[in-house]
Amino acid sequence: MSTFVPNQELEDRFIKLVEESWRRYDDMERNSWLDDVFVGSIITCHLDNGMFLLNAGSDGSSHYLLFSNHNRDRNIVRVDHTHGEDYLFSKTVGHLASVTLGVGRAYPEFKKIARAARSEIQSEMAGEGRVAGMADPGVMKIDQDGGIATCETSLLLDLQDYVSQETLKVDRDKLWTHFQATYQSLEKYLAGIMA
Amino acid sequence: MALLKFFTDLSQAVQEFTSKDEMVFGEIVRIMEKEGYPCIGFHAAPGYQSGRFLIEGPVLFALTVTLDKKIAGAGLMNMTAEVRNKLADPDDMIAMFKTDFSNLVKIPLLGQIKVNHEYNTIYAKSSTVKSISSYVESKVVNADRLKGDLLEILSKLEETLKRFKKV
Repeated sequence: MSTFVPNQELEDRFIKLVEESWRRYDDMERNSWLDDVFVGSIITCHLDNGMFLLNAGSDGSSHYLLFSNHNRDRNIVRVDHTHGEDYLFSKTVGHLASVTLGVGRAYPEFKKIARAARSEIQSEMAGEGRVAGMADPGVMKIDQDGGIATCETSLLLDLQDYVSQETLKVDRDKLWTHFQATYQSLEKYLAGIMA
Repeated sequence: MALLKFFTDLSQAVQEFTSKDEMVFGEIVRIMEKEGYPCIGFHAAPGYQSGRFLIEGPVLFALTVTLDKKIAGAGLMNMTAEVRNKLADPDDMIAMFKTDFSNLVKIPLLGQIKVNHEYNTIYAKSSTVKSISSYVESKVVNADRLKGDLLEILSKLEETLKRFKKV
């Protein structure tokens, strides 16, 4: 028969310690969600703007999304969240993610697409991964997928500019405006190269 | 020129045909986000898409929806709801041990719903064999039907897990 008599003050202290631990745990957990919340909103924004998800993939360090509409226009998004998921990195430097955005447009002339794709070799020399494995921002790269010419560029974004860590609410208008601005520049570059 | 356009059109048509699961999954993400449940976990591979959504309601903490493509357009749609109890008081822990844990062997299957009790988290999982592509009608996802099905299963899972939620 146990004669154990608990001290209520010590028990209250234990409860407080666990509750404080849960608060810290929650903060770390929410921090790890930001990139997925961002990816979810990227999907919502594209669907709201008449596109559908054509392909998706994850490889442990990045998420890859390919959207299309029925005119065969394509938007490509790759979100590399390696740095942002690191609690210390995100609390000190920022919740940074390397985001690659691309557009794909069908062009009827195969030779022109192939010629334009050759410029990718030169673009690859423009500082790919020189700083912390991140590509130089804003470099336009041309590629080819069958009869579709694609143009992509990388940006270094702080996800907290779009996602509130407190509420996990996303400023989707801001996100889509920023994506549209990038898609427009990519399309302009692609059209200029293909002209 | 015309030949390249023909093959590009064909390639797009084939991709659209084989990407119905992705189209449906994209719509699931949008539906959940519009319901106020942000995506907090995302994983996609060929024939497999999974999204975890934060519910933070009075009962449920989160919901995971997984589409697992099998053969001929059919696949599994798994939905797993989670209750999270942040136990801190030893009295609550003793009560849980004596009730929920002791009853574990009695509750693994509630109807078609499987329950799994961990220390702080209790899961209820529903698996449905579905023709996932049937949600795609004339190249467009029938979002209303999909939303109706998702919310109906979510409600059943919540009902199952209600008794495990500690206030």
